Amino acid sequence: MFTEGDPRLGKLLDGIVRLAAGELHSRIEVSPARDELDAVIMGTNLLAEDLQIMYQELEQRVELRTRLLNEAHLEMQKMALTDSLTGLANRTALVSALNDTLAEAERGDLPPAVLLLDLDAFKGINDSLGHAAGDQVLAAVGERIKASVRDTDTVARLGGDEFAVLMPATTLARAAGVGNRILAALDSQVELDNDSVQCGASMGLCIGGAGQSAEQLLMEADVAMYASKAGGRNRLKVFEPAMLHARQLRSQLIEDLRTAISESELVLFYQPVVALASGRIEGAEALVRWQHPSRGMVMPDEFIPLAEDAGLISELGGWVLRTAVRQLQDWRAEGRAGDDFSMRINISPTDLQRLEFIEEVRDALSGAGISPELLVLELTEGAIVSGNELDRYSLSSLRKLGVGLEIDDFGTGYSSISYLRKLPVDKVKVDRSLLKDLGTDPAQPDLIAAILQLIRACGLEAVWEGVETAEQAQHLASIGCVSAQGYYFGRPVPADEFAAVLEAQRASHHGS
Amino acid sequence: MSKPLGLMQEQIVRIVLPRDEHLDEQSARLLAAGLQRPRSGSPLAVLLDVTDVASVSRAARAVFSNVSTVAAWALLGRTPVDRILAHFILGGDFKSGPASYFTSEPEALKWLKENAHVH
Repeated sequence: MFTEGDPRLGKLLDGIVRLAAGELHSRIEVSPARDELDAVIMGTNLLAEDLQIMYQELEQRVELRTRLLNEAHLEMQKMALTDSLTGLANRTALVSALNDTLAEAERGDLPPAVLLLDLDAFKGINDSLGHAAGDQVLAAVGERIKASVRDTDTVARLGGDEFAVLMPATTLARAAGVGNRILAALDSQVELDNDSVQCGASMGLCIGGAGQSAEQLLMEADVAMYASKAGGRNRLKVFEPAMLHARQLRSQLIEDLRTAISESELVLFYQPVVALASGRIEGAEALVRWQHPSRGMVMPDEFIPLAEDAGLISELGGWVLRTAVRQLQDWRAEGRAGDDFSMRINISPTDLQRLEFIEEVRDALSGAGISPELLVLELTEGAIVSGNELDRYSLSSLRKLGVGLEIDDFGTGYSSISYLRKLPVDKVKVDRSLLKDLGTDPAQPDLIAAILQLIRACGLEAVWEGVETAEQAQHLASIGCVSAQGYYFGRPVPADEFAAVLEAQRASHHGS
Repeated sequence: MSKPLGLMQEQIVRIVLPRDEHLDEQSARLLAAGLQRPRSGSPLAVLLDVTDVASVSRAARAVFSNVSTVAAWALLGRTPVDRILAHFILGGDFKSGPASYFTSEPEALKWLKENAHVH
């Protein structure tokens, strides 16, 4: 046993003091006596070792977790600057790189150039081949652009089918060369799993000037790209200040159109659809016009694309729907239109993409107390054939509602015959181009008869558009065509003029 | 370091840790590697003599507690220091069977026979 003066006690105390000071590696000597005091010393040593190891393990774990956290942070930073689909830079990364190069240009370097491009046929590819194919195309396009530029250039996808290339310290000639190289690279087909598609691009280029911001440069490249789109696709346009003016005019027109919809500057004209056998007007097609306060009458082919681009097409379509249905209600109330008189309106593919559209049609009809079969919605062949799930859902909902559905411009698109049988429509409107050669081309009557047969075999009925002469009308009637439309029967006219025509018809009917 | 005890049942293995030496993880592993279950399939019991060992590292202690082939461990010592050391070894979670400390070899062997079901 140990005694009071045992030096080991002092050593033990000193040892514990060292441990308390954090020197967990220090150990206290165990004497050969190996008695109880030595046992306490041994226990202290072993506890110190345990503590030391636990600390080390904890530190290692903290170090590991910190490293993982840093890696995750870097990965997130990378993700935040990367477009996940193509692996290219995203808008944030591009703007940041652009700011850097602009700063370098301020210090005396050559200025940067920005190329902006968007794909011409992309929406069609997405709609007809699906989003997976669309994604494949975007990835392939990204690769091609990357292969066409220098390593020091930044290629970014800005969203959708819009790409950008930043070329630091360059000249206009060199940047244009790169742009044309990219256009050439995009000119060849992109091979997909079961298809191959061609995807041209519209491209705008601008060179950074003194004191310009990244946003300004991108805006100018964007303006140039729109000019390229307007001037025919697959070409490079270099930004010029005059383009800004054109853009402003366009913006002004869009603003005007917005006002036009809310301020009732739009008007509907009506063109008769006639029963060939009797010559009676069986319906009207409502056609929208814009009574512009300073520009006069603007035709739809000028402002419909504008409305589509500006996202106003649904508002415009809604206005046409409500106005036409109300007009039909008025004519019915006035006794001008009977139960066999239908109203036709044109709807855009965008409408089918909106679930509210079906509600709007239902509300317009019930609000006016009009039976659904008196409304015929005309839509283009492309919208029906290449539509996606949502389009098909909308079409079948509209059919369930009871409204008539008609393919517009039939014969100009690409419906396959087998597809025609499956389409959820009741009628087709045969395009005017098919009547044009009647009377000059000896083969045309046979062709028209064959088309009529084909339409009937598919269980559909046809309205023949573009009838301009009595001969055409007679020929169509003679082969059993039911309905027709065209200048021969009447041009599109304002509502009051059309009402007068209906009135005259009613008078003659009563008179006869 | 480990040798079968000729006079005892073959299933009991005696390990005498070297006196005045520090046992580290590597040495412990060498010892543990020799602890294979007898071909007869009868359980293996270990008498681990820690008498006068200078110390056993934490990692070495963990090696013993993780040996899966041993059905029972008896730790044998003499001094209070041996006892503390042994109990630090026993502090590990012995997965394969019971483990206990003794200061008498006959008692340890008796306990082993009872607890390892050695016949």
